[in-house]
Amino acid sequence: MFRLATPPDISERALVEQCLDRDAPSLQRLAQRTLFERYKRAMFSTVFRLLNDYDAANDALQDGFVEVFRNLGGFRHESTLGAWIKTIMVRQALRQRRLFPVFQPLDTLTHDPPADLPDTLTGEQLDVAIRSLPDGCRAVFLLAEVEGYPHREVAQMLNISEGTSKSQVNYARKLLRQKLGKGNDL
Amino acid sequence: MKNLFVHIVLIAGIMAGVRGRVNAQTVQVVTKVVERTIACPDGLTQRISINARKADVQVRGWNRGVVGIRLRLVAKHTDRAVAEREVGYHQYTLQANGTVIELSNGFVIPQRAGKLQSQLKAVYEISIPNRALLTVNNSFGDVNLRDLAGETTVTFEYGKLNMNELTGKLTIKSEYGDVEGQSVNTTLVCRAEKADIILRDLGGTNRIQSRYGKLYIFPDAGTMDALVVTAERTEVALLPKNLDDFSYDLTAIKTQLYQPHATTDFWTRKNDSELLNYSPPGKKPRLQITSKYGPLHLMLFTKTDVPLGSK
Amino acid sequence: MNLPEHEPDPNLWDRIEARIQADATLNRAIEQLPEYEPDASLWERVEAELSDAKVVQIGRGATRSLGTVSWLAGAVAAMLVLAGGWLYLNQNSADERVTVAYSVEQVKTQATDLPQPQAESVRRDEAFIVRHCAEQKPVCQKPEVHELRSQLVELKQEQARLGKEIALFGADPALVRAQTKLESQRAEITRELVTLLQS
Repeated sequence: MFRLATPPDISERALVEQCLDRDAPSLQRLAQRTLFERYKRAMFSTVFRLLNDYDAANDALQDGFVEVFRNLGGFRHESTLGAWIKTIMVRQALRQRRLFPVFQPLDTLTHDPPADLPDTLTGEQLDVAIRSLPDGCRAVFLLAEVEGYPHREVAQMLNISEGTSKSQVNYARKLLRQKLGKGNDL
Repeated sequence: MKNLFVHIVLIAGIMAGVRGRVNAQTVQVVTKVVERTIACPDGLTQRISINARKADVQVRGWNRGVVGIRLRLVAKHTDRAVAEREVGYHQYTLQANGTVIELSNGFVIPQRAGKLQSQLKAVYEISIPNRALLTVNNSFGDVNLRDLAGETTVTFEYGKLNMNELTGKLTIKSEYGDVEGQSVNTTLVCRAEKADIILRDLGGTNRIQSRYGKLYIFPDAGTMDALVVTAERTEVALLPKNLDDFSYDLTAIKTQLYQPHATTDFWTRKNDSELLNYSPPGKKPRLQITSKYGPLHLMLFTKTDVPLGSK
Repeated sequence: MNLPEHEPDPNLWDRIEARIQADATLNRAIEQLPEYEPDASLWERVEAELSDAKVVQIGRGATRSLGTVSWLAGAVAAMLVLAGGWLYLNQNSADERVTVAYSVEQVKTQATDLPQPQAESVRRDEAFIVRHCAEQKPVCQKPEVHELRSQLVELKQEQARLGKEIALFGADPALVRAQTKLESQRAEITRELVTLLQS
């Protein structure tokens, strides 16, 4: 779709190098654009689900990408580029909403909802259900279960205890089972 | 009678979408989602008009003075780039225009683009004030209506109309489009051609015309007020739970009338017609059916004896 | 001293199993979560900040900042519009929200399953009807024969119309279903006509 001078299948390392090449500003900008195009959807999806607000998610992504390009020189290839960018984006998203973790009390669900989920459950259905979760518990669930951050990191990002992170994941799963369970219409 | 069972099973199968051999394939789905709410304070002075094409339309009544719209414009293709390009061929309008709230979709395919490669489909998910005036037009897609109590008019061709828990006034015009209703308790006027129609737990006042199709009616004793059916070249089946819940005025012209043993004494033949007039004691809702060239069945329906395998 | 053992609820295993199954289903769906497209103007906004260009504040959050667009971004944007023509996201109307989601789906295709043109028997029957009525048999003057024959004509016209839709949209499931329906209607009416003519 994009006819850019940077080859679309350029390796991660070469792309990072081109993004940092100040001697060729127009090529540098094209490389930055390629990086942006390569990661924008995945990053936006993460941030959008986290914030549940289209405008705020775009703002977070804007600030996030600017930070990515300003700090790319510090990227040491210790993780994948995608993982490195994602952490920046998540932190930007959390900065967007200072009062982010408003945790629901854990006793609002007095009984265990039916455990049965329809085999036909689609990503889209799950997406709708996740987006209807309470803010804090949605954030924990997304970071721990969807993005795969260890509870220790989730706890540190959201400034909560590791135990709270774990219990919020269970709470989220419970709510999701309740929302998506057989016989429940979204 | 056996023939009818076979038909009921067949129609259920067809309606459940069972068809021939299938292969699985992975496709890229690009969905443009348009979301909007439009104020519709009393739901009465404004008409909500949905003009859909090749769309699945889901309308549900709710207890709020707004119309909530989520329109999904979908393109599917094995190549994501193709789907991305062709999702742009969808056109839509979601707007309030004086007393009409107009929701519509269509397709604009650039001539230079040649033959469309993706599968394009629009999906409306709409919530409206439950007493609203609603008009739906659609072709080649399904229409689902639920929890509506206002005045609803549906005109469609092909695809299927599903209805659940409707009251109020309802007008249906179908050509080649099937209809399945559950707990429809309205003032219904239905004109269908080449349609397979199943109405379960049907109540209210009903006037149904059918040509070249199938019509199965399960009247609900608690809510049925009246039924008048005029059918031509249609296989009609009336399936009450108890015979004595209703009074019957059935006419089969140039065709056969099938009836349960209990009513044989009330059966007569006149020229090329068979008639059945049966009124149990007390005042009972009257079911009047005239069927020409298509068999007319009156049979008792209990869940155990009819293998109505749908869903 | 041995403490007595107690039997748990007999349904306990079923509950545990259901929970394991639900978790597996959830994990599978997580892998299939759809992707979303950010605002179409996002790159321009990022680029404006990178170039330290003047930032103009317009409207509410929707397009938070819009930089003086460099010729390059302009050219790229123009190219995008030419290539796709659909990146007008979220700009249609103040209270309309447009997002683009990406997902992958397993579809059951009916490959080239357009209904087979007229089964042999139907074609034979139609030929029979034409032959039969060409001979001016009295039965062909019956109103119901007229009616059924005009239905057949109508169905053929309908099939031609549907053929045009299929030429445009391809063999999409809704159209294939419509085609199947017409075929079976046509076969049914043909059968009925033949029975009538033979009676």
